[in-house]
Amino acid sequence: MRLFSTDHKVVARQFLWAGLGFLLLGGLLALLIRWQWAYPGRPVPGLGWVLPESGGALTPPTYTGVFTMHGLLMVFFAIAPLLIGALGNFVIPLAVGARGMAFPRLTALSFWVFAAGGVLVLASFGVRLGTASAAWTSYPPLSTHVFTPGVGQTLVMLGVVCAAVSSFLGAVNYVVTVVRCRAPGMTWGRLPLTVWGLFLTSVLNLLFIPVVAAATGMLLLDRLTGTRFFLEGAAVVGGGDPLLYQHLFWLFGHPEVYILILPGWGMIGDFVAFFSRRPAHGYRGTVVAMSTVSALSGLVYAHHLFTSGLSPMLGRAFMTLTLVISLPSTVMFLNWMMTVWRGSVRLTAPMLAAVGAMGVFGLGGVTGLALGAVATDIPLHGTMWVVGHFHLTMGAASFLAVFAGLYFWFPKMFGRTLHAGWAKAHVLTSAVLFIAVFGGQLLTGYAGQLRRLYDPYQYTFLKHLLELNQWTSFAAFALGLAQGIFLVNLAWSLRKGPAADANPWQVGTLEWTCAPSPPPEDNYARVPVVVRGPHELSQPEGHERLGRDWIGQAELLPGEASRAAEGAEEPGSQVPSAGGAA
Amino acid sequence: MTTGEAPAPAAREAAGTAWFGVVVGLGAWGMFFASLAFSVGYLRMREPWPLAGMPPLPVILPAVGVLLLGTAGALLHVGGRGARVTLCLLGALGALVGSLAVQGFVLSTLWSAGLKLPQGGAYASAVYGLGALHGAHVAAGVVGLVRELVRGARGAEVRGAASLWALYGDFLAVTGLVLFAAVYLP
Ligand code: HEM
Ligand SMILES: [Cu+2]
Repeated sequence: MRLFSTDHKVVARQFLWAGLGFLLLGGLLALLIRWQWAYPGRPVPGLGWVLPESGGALTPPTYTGVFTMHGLLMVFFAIAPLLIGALGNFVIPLAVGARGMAFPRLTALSFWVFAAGGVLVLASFGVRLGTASAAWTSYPPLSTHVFTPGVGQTLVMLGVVCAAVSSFLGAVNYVVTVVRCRAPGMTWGRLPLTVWGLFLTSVLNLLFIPVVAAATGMLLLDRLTGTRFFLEGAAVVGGGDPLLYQHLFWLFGHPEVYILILPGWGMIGDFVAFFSRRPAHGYRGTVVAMSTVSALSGLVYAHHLFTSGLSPMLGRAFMTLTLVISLPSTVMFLNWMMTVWRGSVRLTAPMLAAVGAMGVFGLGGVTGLALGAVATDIPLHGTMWVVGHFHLTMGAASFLAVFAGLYFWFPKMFGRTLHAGWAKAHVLTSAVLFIAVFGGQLLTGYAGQLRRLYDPYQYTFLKHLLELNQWTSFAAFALGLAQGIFLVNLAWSLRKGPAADANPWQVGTLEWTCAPSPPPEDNYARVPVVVRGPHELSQPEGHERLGRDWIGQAELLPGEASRAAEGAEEPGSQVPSAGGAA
Repeated sequence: MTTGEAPAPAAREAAGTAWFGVVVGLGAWGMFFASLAFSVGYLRMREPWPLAGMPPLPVILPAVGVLLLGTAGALLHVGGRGARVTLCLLGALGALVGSLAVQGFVLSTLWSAGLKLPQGGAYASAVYGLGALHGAHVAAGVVGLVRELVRGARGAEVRGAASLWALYGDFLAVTGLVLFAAVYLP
C-alpha cells in the first residue's frame, strides 16, 4: 500500500485504520470514566505506570481530561473518519460508477491533514498540564488561556481544525464526484440510498464545517494573540461574549449530529431493502425526508441553548422547528419498516447491525423529544439524560451503522470473507450492551445525576445511584470486551478469510455487479451503463429471464438491449458471481 | 494545443469539473466569513462601536483595499479568457500585494493611535483578528499567483489555472467587502 496513494480505496483503508485506532483509544477513555463512576477515586488496575503520583487513581484534573478527550476523539477522530472517511471514500466512486474521485489528490490530502490533526491530538497527552480539558464543546471561558492555560488545549484545538479542514476537503470531493462523475444512466433516482446519505452529509459538512472553523479560529486567537472575542469580565473592559461561541458552536454542532448519522440512515435504507429482498419502500419519500431533515438541521441549533438565557420567544420558535424534524424522520423510519414488512428477511451481520441501528436510533429519537420541548428540557438539561440521548443516537446508532457498513463492504474492500457467525455475535452483543449502557445513563439522568461529575455521590440526593451506575459500568466493560470479537474476526479474516466472491450478498448495485472483489485500481474495466435502480430485488422479470431474485443496475435482461440506447452494442459490463453467502 | 482549436471533450469535461469544484469549495468556505461577520454583528449589538476612548475606524483606505481585491479578480478573469495571461497574473499579483499593504498600513496606524490588544476588547479584536484571518487568505492567493507565474515562465499553459484563480480573486473581494461592511462601516 503506497503511503501517499491517490486511490480512493487505499485512502479509505487509511481512514479505516486510523479511525479504528482512535476508536480504541476513545473507548478505553470511556471505560476509565465508567470506572470512576463505579469506584470513585479507586486506583484503576494497571494504570499505575501512567499515573504514578496517584497510584493509578483518576484525579479530578485527569478525569476532566479523560472525558473531554473521549468525546472529542469519538466525534472528530472516530465516527467521522470511519463513517465518512473510510466508508464514504470507498463507496461513493464505486457506487456511482466512477473510475475514482473527482479530485484524487484532494482525497489523499484530506487523509494527511486528518493524520496531522491526529498527531497533534496524541501529542497533547504528553505535554505539561496534560491534554485538553474543557469538554468536547470547548466552551469559553473555560477553554481560554485564563482557565485552561496548558498547551494541550491549544494542540487539541489545532487538531480539531485539521480534522475540520480534512472533512471539508473530503466533502468538496464527494459532492463534485456525485454531481459530475456518475456513470451514464446513473440518474439521481438510481443512486443507492447510501450515496444519498453521504451526499447530504457532505453538503452539511460544506456549509457548517466553516462555522466551527471560524469559532475555533477565534478561540485560538483569544488563547494565543490577545484578542478578546469570547472573554470579558474583570480582566477586559468591553470584551467579547462567551455566549457567542455557543451560538457558533451549535450552529455547527447540531448539523454535525446529522452529519454523523445521515450516512448511517442511507445504509439502513439500502440494507433493509437488500436483506429483505425487496425494493426500498418509498425510495423517493425517503430521499425527500432525508433531504428535509438536512435542510432543517441548520434551523434548530438553539435547542442546545434553551437554558442559556435565550429569549423565550426564540425558545418557542426553536422548539417548534425541532419538533418538526420528527415528521420527516418518521416518514423515513416508517419506510424502512415497510421495506422489511413481509420481505424474505436474511439476518446477515450487516442486516442485524442495520436493524440494531434503527432500534437504538428510535430510542434515542424519542428521548430527544423530551429535550426538544422547552418545559421538559429545563430540568433535563445538563443531566445524564442528555448524555444517554446522544449516545443512543450518535454513539450506538452511528457505530452500529459503521459496523453494518464494514461488515457489508469488507469483502469488496479486502477480497476476503469475514466469519459470519462471529460478526453476528459481535453485532448482537454490542446492540444489547449499547442499550444497557446508554439506558443506564438515561435512568441516572432522569433521577437527576448531572453529567461530567467527578464523584456524583458527593451529593446526598445522588448517593443511591451508585448501584445503578455500577451495573451500567459493568455493561460498559462487557461492551468493551465484546469489541474483541470484532478485532479477532478482523485480524483472522484479513489473513485467513476465504476469498470473497464478486457479489456475496446477491444484490444489484454497481460495486457488487461490475467489479471483482477487490476492484482494480481504476474500479471498472469498462465504465458501466446504468439501466435501473439500486434495489431491483424479487422482480418477476428477473425470476423469469435470469432465474434469480436480483438484477444488476447495469445488467440488460435478454431482449432488453434495444431499449438502452448507449448500451446497445456493448457487451454487458457485469462480472460473473458464483452465488450467495450467509 | 494551438489557439482556436477546440479542446477535446474529455479535457473540457475535466475543466468543467475543476471549475465546479472550486465554485463549490469557495462558495461553502464563504460560510467561514459569514460566521465572522455574524460574530461582529453580535458583538456590535452589545458594545458601543467604536468603544469609548478608542480611535474610530477609517473607511476610505479599507475600501481601497477591497477595490484592489476586486481589481485582482477582474484581471484574472481577463487573463483566463485569452491573451496576455502573464501580464494579467502580474497585475493581479500587484493588486493583491497592494491590498495587503493598504491593510497593513491601516492596522499599524490604528495601533499607533492607541487601538491595542487586549485593551481594545472586542472592538480591537474584530479589527485585528478578522483583518488577520482575511489577510491570510489574501496571502494564500499571493502564493498561488506566484506559483502560476513560475509555471508560466517555465512554459506551462496557465490560462486554465488563471481562470480558477479568478474565482478565488472574486472570493477575496466578496468576503473582503462583507468584513469591511461588518467592521468598518459605522
Ligand atoms: C428526534 C430527533 C432529535 C431531537 C428532538 C433532539 C433534541 C435534542 C436536544 C433538545 C438537545 C439538547 C439537550 C440539552 O442540552 O438540554 C440534544 C442534544 C444532543 N443531541 Fe439530539 N435530538 C434529536 C436527534 C439527535 C440525533 C439524530 C443525534 C446524533 C446523531 C443527536 C445528538 C445529540 C447530541 C450530540 C447532543 C448534545 C451534545 C452535548 O450537549 O454535549 N440528537 N438533542
Ligand atoms: Cu441538536
